[in-house]
Amino acid sequence: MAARSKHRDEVRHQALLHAILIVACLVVLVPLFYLVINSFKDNYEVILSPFALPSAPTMENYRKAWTTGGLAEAMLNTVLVVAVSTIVLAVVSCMMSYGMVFLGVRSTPVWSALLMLAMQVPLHMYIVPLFVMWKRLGLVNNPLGIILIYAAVYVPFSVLFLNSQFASIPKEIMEAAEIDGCSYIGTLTKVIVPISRPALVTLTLINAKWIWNEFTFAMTFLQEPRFQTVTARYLQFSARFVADFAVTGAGAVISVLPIVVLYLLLQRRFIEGMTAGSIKG
Amino acid sequence: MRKCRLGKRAMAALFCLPAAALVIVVIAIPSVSSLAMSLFEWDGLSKPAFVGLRNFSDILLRDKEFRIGFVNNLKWTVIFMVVPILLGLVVAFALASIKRMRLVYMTILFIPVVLSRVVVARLWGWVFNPFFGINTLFEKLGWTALCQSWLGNPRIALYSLAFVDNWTWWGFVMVIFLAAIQQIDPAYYEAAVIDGASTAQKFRYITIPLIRPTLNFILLLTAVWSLSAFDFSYIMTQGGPGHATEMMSTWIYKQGILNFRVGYASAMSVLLLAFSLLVILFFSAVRRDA
Repeated sequence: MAARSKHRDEVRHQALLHAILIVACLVVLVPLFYLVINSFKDNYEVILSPFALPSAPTMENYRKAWTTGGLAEAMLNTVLVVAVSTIVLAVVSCMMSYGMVFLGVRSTPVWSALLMLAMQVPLHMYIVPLFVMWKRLGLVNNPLGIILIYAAVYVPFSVLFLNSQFASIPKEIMEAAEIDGCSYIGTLTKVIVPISRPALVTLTLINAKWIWNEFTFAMTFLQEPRFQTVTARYLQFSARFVADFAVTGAGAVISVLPIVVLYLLLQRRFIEGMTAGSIKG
Repeated sequence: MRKCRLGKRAMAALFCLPAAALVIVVIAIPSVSSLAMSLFEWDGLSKPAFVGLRNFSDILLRDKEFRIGFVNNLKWTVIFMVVPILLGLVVAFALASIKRMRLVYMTILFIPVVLSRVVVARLWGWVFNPFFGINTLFEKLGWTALCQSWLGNPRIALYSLAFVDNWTWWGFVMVIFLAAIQQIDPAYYEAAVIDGASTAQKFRYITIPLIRPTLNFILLLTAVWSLSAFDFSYIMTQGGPGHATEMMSTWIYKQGILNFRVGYASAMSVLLLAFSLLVILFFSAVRRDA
């Protein structure tokens, strides 16, 4: 009897926990659902019945956002900026992390502390002088300018992330490689990088997500539409078409879709990567 | 042998060089020049004029918008120290205690964290819209008391923005708490069950104390980030209506990038950094005490 009532308590308990979680999930999903259903309606229907399913689903909004809204061009720019920045980030962070962990720079803790500091400096501390400097160097409205910014801003996180990964590789590997006559660069590219491949993939995913979504630098340093990345372009276009909910809604779906798809395919890596290092406190 | 080791050290520094150079050029030099520029009046083009501490006295004594921004950042800090952390803790605890579907829930709850904040801002802008937003639903249901001008009413707007920021932020906090909770040795809970502890007691007396370091870390992160909150205020209300949702960082951006008051904006950013450092010092003092 007692065991049975205990079992029933446990079931009720689990049901309550699931109820809490389902409510939390609804708070996330309902607004997204509202966005997606309205992106398939025409504007009249949006005003008439915003909370109903589309009566005659149309792709017209997506076509307009893609062409008239200029998201096609912006998407191409973003892919370019994200690809180059994440590759540069992976290369320079790997090198720095290798130098810090395996070759042992003088006073490693100081370097780590400086990286921590650089990570916590609010971007508003340096964005104004940076803008003035970049303007003089002709790096405003220039893909190279934004790539340099991204490649620098995410360095502190990338290096600290790789440091924690590299720390778990036994140091003997270095000695073995040295005895085998590997140069420092050879050890990095032929030994360390292959072992750390999963960590590097996670790092690149996280950096890609940040850069894809970043908008403060993008809207400041890319003011000319033809160079704009998706967030900057979408910010302008959605402000201009503010009354046209259907089209701006479709644009919203387009501009988040690549990252959301990547996330749904590789959620574990995303979650682990983004929360890395925070647990230690 | 000695020569060889020196070579290794030099190589190490060489490997650090590219990344360090990027950080120095993009973050360090402009940050330091902010410190210097704060003593000048400068439009970014003509010759800077040295004004001593006048920018600071103007900001602290005369700049009403900066003061509004400062108060809003404080309100923001208080809200974010409480709401997402409570939500995150409760939901992380629930996630850790269920036996099935954990990954499904976690994947859904983390979605807002990976969405672009520009899109999230627009999405909630529509929800708050009077023509096809949430108000039309409230009207249909007859809950007219809930029909508010969510972004237009200066007394509500800041809280609407905080709600939106919470929506994107708490999933992150939750996942970090979940990771910390999962590291707790299950033996503690088993012992508590034998002693007849309720779920609430387990949460209060086992979970909370054991994830204390993570909790402190999140509180510190929250405080520092709340002081430089920018995104939703800038995109959704541009600091308005009036200056009701102005933040220190939106005011810095408007003055520095849009009005070309480089020196004045730099002085404000120096104050922002000083506040952030104060918060960090405060937290490390508290931690040392405990």
